[in-house]
Amino acid sequence: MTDRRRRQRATDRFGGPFARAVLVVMILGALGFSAISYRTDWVRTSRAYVDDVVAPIQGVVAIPFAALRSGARGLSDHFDVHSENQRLKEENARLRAWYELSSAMRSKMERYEKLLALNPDPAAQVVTARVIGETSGPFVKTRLVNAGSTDGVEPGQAVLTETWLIGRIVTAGRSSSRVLLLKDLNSRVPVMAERNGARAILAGDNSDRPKIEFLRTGHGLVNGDRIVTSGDAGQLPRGLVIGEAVVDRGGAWRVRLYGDDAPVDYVRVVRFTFPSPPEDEIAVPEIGAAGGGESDAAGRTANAGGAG
Amino acid sequence: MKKLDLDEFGGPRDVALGIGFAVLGAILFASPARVAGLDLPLPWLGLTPVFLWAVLRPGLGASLGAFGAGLLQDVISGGPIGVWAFAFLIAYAVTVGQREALLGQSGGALWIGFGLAAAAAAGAALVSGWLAMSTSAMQNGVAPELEGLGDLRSRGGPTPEAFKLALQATVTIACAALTVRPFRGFARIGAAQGALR
Repeated sequence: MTDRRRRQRATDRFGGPFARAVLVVMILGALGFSAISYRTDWVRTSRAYVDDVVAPIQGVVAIPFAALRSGARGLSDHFDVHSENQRLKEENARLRAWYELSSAMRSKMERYEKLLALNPDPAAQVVTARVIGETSGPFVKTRLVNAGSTDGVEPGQAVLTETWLIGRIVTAGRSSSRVLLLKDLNSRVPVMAERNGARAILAGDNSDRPKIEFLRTGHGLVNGDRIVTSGDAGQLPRGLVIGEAVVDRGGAWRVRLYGDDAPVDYVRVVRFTFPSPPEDEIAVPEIGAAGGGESDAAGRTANAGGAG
Repeated sequence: MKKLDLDEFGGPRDVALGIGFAVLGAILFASPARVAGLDLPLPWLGLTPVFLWAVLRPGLGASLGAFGAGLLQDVISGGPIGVWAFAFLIAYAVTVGQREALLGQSGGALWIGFGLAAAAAAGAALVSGWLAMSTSAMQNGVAPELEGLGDLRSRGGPTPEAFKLALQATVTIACAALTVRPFRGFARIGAAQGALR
């Protein structure tokens, strides 16, 4: 075969010059678009629609995985039933003491709050949703859940396992929404140490243990301190438990997430209506007493109507 | 150069199968697969038709198909758009480059060829995923700390993304033993030699 013919055949391999040009354009386009995709608003909004369409199928595909999970859990439970029983008995004895203490504390606290005429936090409503999807691609940590705007889910709301914060809603479709996990590179959550209220930002960095950033000097944090949401910036309610502070090898503070060990089948989305700023709302102090209300409209408008 | 046997590939049945694998693969890939505290590596079922088309019927349609399969996986899995489209297109281009070496082969050589395609896809996904994340992190005003790129020494910390992708590629190759079957893929590649001569 002559050199020319070989070259000609090599060009033909991709199906001619036009097909070759299209291929190159698509490759460059895909690479370029992946770089700007997260900055593009219409990608985010249209994703919510796609999620809604795919959600019913995802829900079905997720079932065998849930069965596999519960099977694996059952199997491991079966093997360490004795030691687990022992451990639970000890823990139960310890917790009973805590229970007595906390119920005594609660009544004391209620008395104090009444004495101080303290405004209670607005009551939060909770939507339970099933996890039907999870991102397996590189560098992204999101989950898809089967509750959307028709259930009152909105972007920004906190997502918990039974008790622990795992992330917040980033996009909400009608019947599905996407959760940005605390580990994701784009996750930033205002937090504090429960013990002394030291403020910081919890920043996901794609590792299993997000970083505690912007700590003040003299923060007094110690290993094992419980980290909770601070409620600053008016995004998440205050006091949701996230995990405990640990120092990594580099000497940086990180958080071991409690929610990591919990089963992933169901999550709870917290519908929390923040008191709106005073300049556009006069009836703020009454939110707590109303306790939310059944209407799907935001608490603000419901309250304004009630006040007028 | 005649394309006798090759023309058999790419009929309506094959196209339907290919689309089916791409859709099913994208949905499977987006499933919550954390079992017993470990993330199960999920295969990229869409890579099988991409590979077969690259060997048996490359051209404009095949490259558009590879792009579509990748885009579908991007859209459904919830990551940045373009990562898997890029990965599948690179896998396609790499396989087309190996095409003449693969035609007429059987068994081991084909597995190496498919392994190469999967490795190319994993590498490409790492690059484009990293690009997507570093640009979005820059937007946040935070320097990206891509420990995912392979900080193996702090275990209990990050699962390195390269490792995760390598596992997914391995599972994809293992699954190919089943996924090429409905296409009679490897048999067709083996039979293609006669057609070329």
